[in-house]
Amino acid sequence: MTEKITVKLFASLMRYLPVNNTKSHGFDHAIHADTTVGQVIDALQLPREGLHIVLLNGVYLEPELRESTPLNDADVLSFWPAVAGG
Amino acid sequence: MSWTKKVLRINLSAGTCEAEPLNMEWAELYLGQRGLGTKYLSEEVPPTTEPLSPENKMYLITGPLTGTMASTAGRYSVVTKSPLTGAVACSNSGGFFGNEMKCAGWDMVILEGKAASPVYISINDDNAEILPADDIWGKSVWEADEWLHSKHQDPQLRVAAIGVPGEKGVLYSAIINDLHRAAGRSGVGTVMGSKNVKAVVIRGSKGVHVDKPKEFFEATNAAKAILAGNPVTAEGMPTLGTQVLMNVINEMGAMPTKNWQHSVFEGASKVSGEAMLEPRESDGKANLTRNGACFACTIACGRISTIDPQHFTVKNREDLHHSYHGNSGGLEYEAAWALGCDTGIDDIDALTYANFVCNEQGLDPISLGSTIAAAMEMYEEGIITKADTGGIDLSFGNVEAMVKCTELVGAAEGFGLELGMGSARFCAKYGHPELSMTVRSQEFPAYDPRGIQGMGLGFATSNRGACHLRGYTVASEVLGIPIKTDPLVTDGKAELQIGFQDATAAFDSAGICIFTSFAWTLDDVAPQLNADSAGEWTAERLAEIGERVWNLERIYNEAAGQGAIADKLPPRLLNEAIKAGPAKGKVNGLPVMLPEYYRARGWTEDGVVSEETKARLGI
Amino acid sequence: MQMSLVIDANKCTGCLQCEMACSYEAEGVFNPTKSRIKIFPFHEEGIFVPYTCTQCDEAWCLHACPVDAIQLNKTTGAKEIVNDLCVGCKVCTIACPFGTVNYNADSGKVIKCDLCGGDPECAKACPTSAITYQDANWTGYDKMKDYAAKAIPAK
Repeated sequence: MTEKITVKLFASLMRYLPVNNTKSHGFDHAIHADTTVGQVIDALQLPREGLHIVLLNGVYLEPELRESTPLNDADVLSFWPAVAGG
Repeated sequence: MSWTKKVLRINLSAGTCEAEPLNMEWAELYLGQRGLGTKYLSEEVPPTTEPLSPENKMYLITGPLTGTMASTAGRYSVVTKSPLTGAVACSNSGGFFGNEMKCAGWDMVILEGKAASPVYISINDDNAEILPADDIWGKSVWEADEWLHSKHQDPQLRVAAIGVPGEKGVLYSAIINDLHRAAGRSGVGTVMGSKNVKAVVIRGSKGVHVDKPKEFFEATNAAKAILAGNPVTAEGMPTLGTQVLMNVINEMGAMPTKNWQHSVFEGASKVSGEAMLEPRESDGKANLTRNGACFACTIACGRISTIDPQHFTVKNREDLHHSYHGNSGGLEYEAAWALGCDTGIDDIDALTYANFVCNEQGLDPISLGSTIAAAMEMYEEGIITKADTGGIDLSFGNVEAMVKCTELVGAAEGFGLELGMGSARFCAKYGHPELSMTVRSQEFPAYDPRGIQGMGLGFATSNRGACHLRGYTVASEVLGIPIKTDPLVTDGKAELQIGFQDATAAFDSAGICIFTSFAWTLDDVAPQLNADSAGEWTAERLAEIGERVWNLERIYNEAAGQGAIADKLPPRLLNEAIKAGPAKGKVNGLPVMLPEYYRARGWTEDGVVSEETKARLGI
Repeated sequence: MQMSLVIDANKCTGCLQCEMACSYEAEGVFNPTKSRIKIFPFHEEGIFVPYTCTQCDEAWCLHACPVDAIQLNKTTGAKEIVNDLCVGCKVCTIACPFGTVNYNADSGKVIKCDLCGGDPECAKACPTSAITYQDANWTGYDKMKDYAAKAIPAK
């Protein structure tokens, strides 16, 4: 069964947005059941070394859990490089 | 030796400007800027002093690195007793004013007493004068800046000034230098206005020496290389500025929205750092023109922005200062949040306009936006009506209302004077103090402590009232700097907060910007100070200085009635759980963290600095 | 190979590291008012422009000096002030069309950029490469390359 998640890319990672969707941060991404976060990173060719903050439905995903964590339908997966402000 | 060891004491009542030596014994213990200024304050201004009386004093003070080639070394602080909080105030500004003071040969300028009529202070190396300011009293900072440059026929003059709100007692007035850098918080501009001082202008040609030049270049070059090699300081901050946080904090569900009723703001991405880069329809330009640096800063996070010329705030507005039609200091995260998310407004041009007003007139946008937001909630609840607001429809999301309120506070007129009291006094006046999102009467910054637990403890214990710049555990809890901790738990947050508070106090006393701490630790600061200033400066000693500064501020506050009794959060954050989003169901765990914090600080159970701790730190 | 300072204002953030490096090299103190290179912020236009001596070939300042106190450094191409000869008459400051020669009231001599003897400190201190020191015959290289890059077909 095909499921659908939302991927969001921010800051310098916006350069990896689909070419037809540079106005907003988020886009739909089709997955199969049991697809992991790591597989999405591969599918989108995101640079692993540049993924500093990864939120799954707004909750921080520890680096060691990223490869193996499975995704569910309607999940929101957000990525940032190392950023800070104040 | 990059202290000049000289202090300029200006007595406005007596009309005197006198040089005196810097107390080097205190400098050894408190370094400079925030620490040393607070030491002077605590020795010279009794904690019970009425903040807007002539008995209060202002300390405009640099740090030992200020004016050198160390990265970000242009900073100065304004230390005084705050009229907003009744506690110690220390507001830190960049730009090019601190280095000019040092270049003129002064570590510190003290303003005491009160002038009989409006004046400004002119400092040209050794020569200091108190000059009449009648021509600029009643003018904005930007107008005063132009007048002063023209009057002195010196385009290189550095100006720090207050606007109309500072003259008229708006309690969160800022001192603006270089047109858009601010000693922003706690109403330090209000104190300046109460002394009838409109501006301080400085021109310095003496320069700054360092103790060991060869070591100094080695140390500062090594430290600059760290900034240049860190993705945060080398790429993130120059490209997106502090506004990069807008989407991060919103996505994690800790974005205070509509006076903290909600924790996710739907319009956040429209007013984010990324949005500032998008070309707009009217003229194809982005809100952001480019990044800009403060003195000596190799990060350059400053925003230089324009307002859409077709936007209602500026279109056909020939009454406005010409800078509104060109570039000026653009949105920072805190301003965009307070004026925007907190009021439910996602119009980036309206926010930029309001931010420009804050710069032109010298206002703290955090306090301003938060006070408007509190008033909006009271309006929607029917606690205040149009009869109170002067006819303004203060509904959340009403762009025109936010703009109008900002203009009124900027002009210190009508309903603007009501909002100028700040959120705590405004809400109390109408019988609903619980709606004020403040600690020690100072408005919160843009992090919901129900979703970022450590910040609740930070706000509650912040010596200058609620503030993010006193202990920024967001760095750890959200951004993973230096290590990631879980934002939703209270475990370990007391120690984490103390570590951040003490290190920050050391950075704030050295003459450099706290943003370097995203890449530097005190181990990177110590060698720079070591080569700059005679003495053995180690990371351990700097951390101890930070702890000493924190405790001294606390002791001052205790005597000012702002000690443990004020370590409180509004009931909304303790009792009302977050309604939706990733942090749904959470309240802040201050009751758990606070006793741990007192214990770890070496204070009594009641939150009083213990005699042992005083003795250990030599206070 | 002769080298030139190349300035790209679009990269300048206005931090003044160059002014401090210059004043330190020339005067032994961090003091922007004694810098031979200046950054001009154009606030409302939102741009910072570094400006200093371009080392003119037929240098107005050199020809105007009545005591030959401005001399060519044949290695670097810089027009250098010879302090022992300079009498502080300031004619060079009037002759220079660009304002890059200035009088220093503390020393009674004029000051101008001398390329630090061939190793300019401003370029080394600039954190954004807004100031670089490049082949004098190819100061347009980067700009040419940028435009050349526009010929690359889009992917």
